[in-house]
Amino acid sequence: MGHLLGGAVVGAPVKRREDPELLHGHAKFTADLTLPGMLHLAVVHSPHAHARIKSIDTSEAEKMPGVVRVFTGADIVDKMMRLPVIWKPAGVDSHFPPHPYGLPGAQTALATDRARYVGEWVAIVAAETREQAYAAVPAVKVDYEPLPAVADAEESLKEGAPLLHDEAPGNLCTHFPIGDRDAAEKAVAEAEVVVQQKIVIPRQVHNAVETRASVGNYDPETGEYTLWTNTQIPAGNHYMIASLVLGVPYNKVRVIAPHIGGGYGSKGYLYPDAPLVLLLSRLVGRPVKWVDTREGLFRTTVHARGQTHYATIAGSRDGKISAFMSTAYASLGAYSSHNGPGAPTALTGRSMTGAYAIPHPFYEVFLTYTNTNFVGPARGAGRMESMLVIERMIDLYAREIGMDPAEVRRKNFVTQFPYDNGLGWNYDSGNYAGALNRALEMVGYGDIAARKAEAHQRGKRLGVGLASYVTVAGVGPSGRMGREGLIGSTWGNTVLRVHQTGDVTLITGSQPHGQGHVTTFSQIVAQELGVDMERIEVIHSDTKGVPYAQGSYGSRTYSVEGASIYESAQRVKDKACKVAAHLMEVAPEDVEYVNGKVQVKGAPEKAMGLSDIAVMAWFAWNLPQGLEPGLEVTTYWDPADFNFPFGTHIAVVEVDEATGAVDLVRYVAVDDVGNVGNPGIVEGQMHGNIAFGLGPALMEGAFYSPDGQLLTNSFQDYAIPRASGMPNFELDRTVTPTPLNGLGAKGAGDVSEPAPAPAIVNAVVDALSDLGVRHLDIPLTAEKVWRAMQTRGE
Amino acid sequence: MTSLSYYSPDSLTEAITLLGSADARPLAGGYSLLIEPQRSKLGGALVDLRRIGDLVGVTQGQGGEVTIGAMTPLAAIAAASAVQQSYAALAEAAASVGDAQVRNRATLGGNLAQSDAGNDLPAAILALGGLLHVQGAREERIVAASDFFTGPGQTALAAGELITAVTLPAPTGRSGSAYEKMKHPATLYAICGVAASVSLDANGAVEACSVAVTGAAEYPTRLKSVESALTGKTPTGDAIAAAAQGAGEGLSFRSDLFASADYRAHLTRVLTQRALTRALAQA
Repeated sequence: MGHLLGGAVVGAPVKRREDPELLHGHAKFTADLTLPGMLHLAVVHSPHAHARIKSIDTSEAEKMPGVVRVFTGADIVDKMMRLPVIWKPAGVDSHFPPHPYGLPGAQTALATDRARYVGEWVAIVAAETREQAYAAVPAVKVDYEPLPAVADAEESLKEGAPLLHDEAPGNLCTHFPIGDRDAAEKAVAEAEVVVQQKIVIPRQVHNAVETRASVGNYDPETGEYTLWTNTQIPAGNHYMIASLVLGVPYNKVRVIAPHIGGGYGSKGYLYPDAPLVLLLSRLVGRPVKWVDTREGLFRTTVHARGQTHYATIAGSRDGKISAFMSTAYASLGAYSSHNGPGAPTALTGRSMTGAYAIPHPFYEVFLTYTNTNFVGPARGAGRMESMLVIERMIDLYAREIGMDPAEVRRKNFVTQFPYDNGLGWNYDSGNYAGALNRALEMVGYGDIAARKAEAHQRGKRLGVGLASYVTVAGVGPSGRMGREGLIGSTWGNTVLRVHQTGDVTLITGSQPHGQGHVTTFSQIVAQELGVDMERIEVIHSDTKGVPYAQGSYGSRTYSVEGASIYESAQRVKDKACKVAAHLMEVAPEDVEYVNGKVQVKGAPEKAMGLSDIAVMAWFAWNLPQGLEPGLEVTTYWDPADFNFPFGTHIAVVEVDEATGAVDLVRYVAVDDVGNVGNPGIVEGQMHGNIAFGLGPALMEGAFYSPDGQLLTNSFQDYAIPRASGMPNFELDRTVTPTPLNGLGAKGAGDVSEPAPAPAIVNAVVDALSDLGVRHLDIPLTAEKVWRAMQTRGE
Repeated sequence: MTSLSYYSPDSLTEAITLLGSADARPLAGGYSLLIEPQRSKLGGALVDLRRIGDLVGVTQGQGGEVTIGAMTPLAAIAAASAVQQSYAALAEAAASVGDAQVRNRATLGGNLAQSDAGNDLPAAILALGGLLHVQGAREERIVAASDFFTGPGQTALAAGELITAVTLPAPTGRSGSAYEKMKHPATLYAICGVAASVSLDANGAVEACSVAVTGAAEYPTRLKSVESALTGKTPTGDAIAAAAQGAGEGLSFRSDLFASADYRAHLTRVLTQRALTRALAQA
């Protein structure tokens, strides 16, 4: 389509440019890749939560048809380093296994002497076909000596709990407190009303349709390692693999992310397979490929959440909150993921007070090691936990003082911006009451009593639940991230090149895996430069020959990478103006860039089009003194701070009085992400967020037995929401731009994911409130709700 | 490595012959057989029944009975007007299975023969008094649904036998049926599914009543105590509730992360009452 002359391309619901290839089934994913001579890998997983590995006998497996070699930890231990952890919470002691470079360490790609969780990689079979590789797995004889195991974070801290790492006495990785504990305790002691509640948030598995997969190829002629893998952070993988795991020159590694079948944060990691396929390719002298199974995904792709909070809210009888405290326990798993400490410390902790101006906040978390798969940030990272806790506590407080939960929210909302929340976040802009009021209007909040009575006639208990959220987005200001403990950077970057023909190439540091970046980014360039979208190509996801970059996570893409594109476009326009003014023999300050042309102010008929300017910029026959040839800019754009999208979601549920089944009958969501690039895409993200959020509210949960066996290994035991089970989503947006970037845009990717769980729990508790039920932990399965009705909340 | 032979016969006779070998298995919709991890364990021979046209279709006999071919997809059963009109419990059960993609491919015969404890159709076929046509190498026999499900994962099918069709007797007089289900959130199978079929006599009393449960108990089974409690009674709300209270007596119930045995027992009573109430409302 052509750009809308004189109209806005940014902000229009342009159809996604990337869809035809995907919809026609032509898009190639990692598992589609076949290289000549390629071997296939199958993993031998530990069946034990904790066991000493006494010996591994690979001889029988190596005689199996097609098997080329079986690798164990002993084969690789001196050839690759332990994976690194690149998030070490600042200002507190923390305890990790040591990485050789003095960094905190994660796991080794293959276990050596001990397996510490079910599913841990113990050996790996390389065979001519995938079937042959998997057929040989049972023939790898591992002699285990089972050890006592612990799966629960609180249990892991108790005297006598099995210890996972010598470096972490008492299984404690770190204790992370923020806020003024003394002041908060004093405010609680002096408050008229104090409400306390334990809130348990189970683990969630961000099941992408596509499991993880990697193809590695080592070229002995050039010494180059090429990795194809479905990662959201190709450059991050490149850096960590080259420099921190394999110890090979940075410029001998290339990482390519093909099309990705869903990530949701779960692919934003350095996993063992990525460096391992490169090393194994070198060792066997052939390309190797690994594609995970669904069971493997459940066991060894990152789990999210998994926190237990002991929360306290205190305030006056007339609804003014004075203090909020929570003590949380969270397991990192048996090892930290590469950024495992991030979610329970900063993301949860600094977000703990949500949309409210609470004078005395305090949060602390005990991060522990348990015999479980590792936990890390994924869609809704850390903030789903804090929003569930604060939004539940707001409702409990409202109930205690007999005030409408909407009114309590209104009375305590942050209204002055910027706002320092006392836990480390600085809220940029907002209109929290605006979103709440719009949502209440949409749901018809005044009619609820009548609807409850009507539902009761049908044997249903109707409940309404609110969730007003604020979620940190736009990760992030690099210095701030460094001070938080990130060993890395989080700016955005762009190479924007206008070719001599006027065609445009944009190289982005972001990594699209379904979000439509190519379309949204093209819209920014089309609008700013006045170029048709068809003339813009967007290059991404290949680290060869392009600058170091960040990838896609943390609702950062549009407001950070997009902002860097916007800045690049301004710089291209500046240069185009200089070139054109020189050629038209007018002063640079007398021209302006308007819709693909540089024209003389006040005399628009005197103008040069972008392609005419570009060819002269590249040919460089007659450039202003000191101006370098070409029409290309590279921009590294570091945001001054995070941005803070917000909104209010309202769930209306009907609970079957006889069975406890929860039917989500209406779902209203009013979100504010500032200015939007493509409202169709943003709406899609909001749909995804609601779907992702209602899963853990109603059915999802990854559970371990006390001794560390994963009870939810497959879709037989782990439920995810289906399209057929969703209500119609009633969406609206308010628009409060951020002052922090040129687009006025905030993050949108996962920002509203935290809202559905508290909205739905609040609704179900509301439905059951006259029975005396005050709280229910997610997931709200029919049986759990039925039992609550039987016991009347006892 | 296992090797697998695949056959796609176009006649029942040929299929039965092929199924005579010890390691041969029939392939219908494939949703149980071809999903991981079962697929990797397959060996021997697969006999694909999908080309045998005689096994597909819904036909009404002269006596009003309806016969459904074993390879009829569940979506077609749910949409068949003859089924919707006279056997609502079956239409509802078929419509409740999985999702549209599954219903377009999964078959009546597969759903009955595969005998997963949470399959929906067994309850409906039991309650409606279905007669299963079973073809073996030597004989064709008729097995009543109530004799077909013999234990957890067990049926009356002998090695080499196939279900070819199910006949549902013509409904008599004032009759109705219904299927009530709570879906398993993960699998969409029945945590508990109850089918009820009733007929009333000229005085409005319950002449015949048949109720069956699937999913909740170890295998699909009739709820005889409910049936006898209601038969001959005037079906008031109280009478239905009283009868439903006996649902599941003596059964042992399944349990998993989503639903305990106690809860399934409770659901059996609740859904029995609801299925009976809706079935009676049609009669």
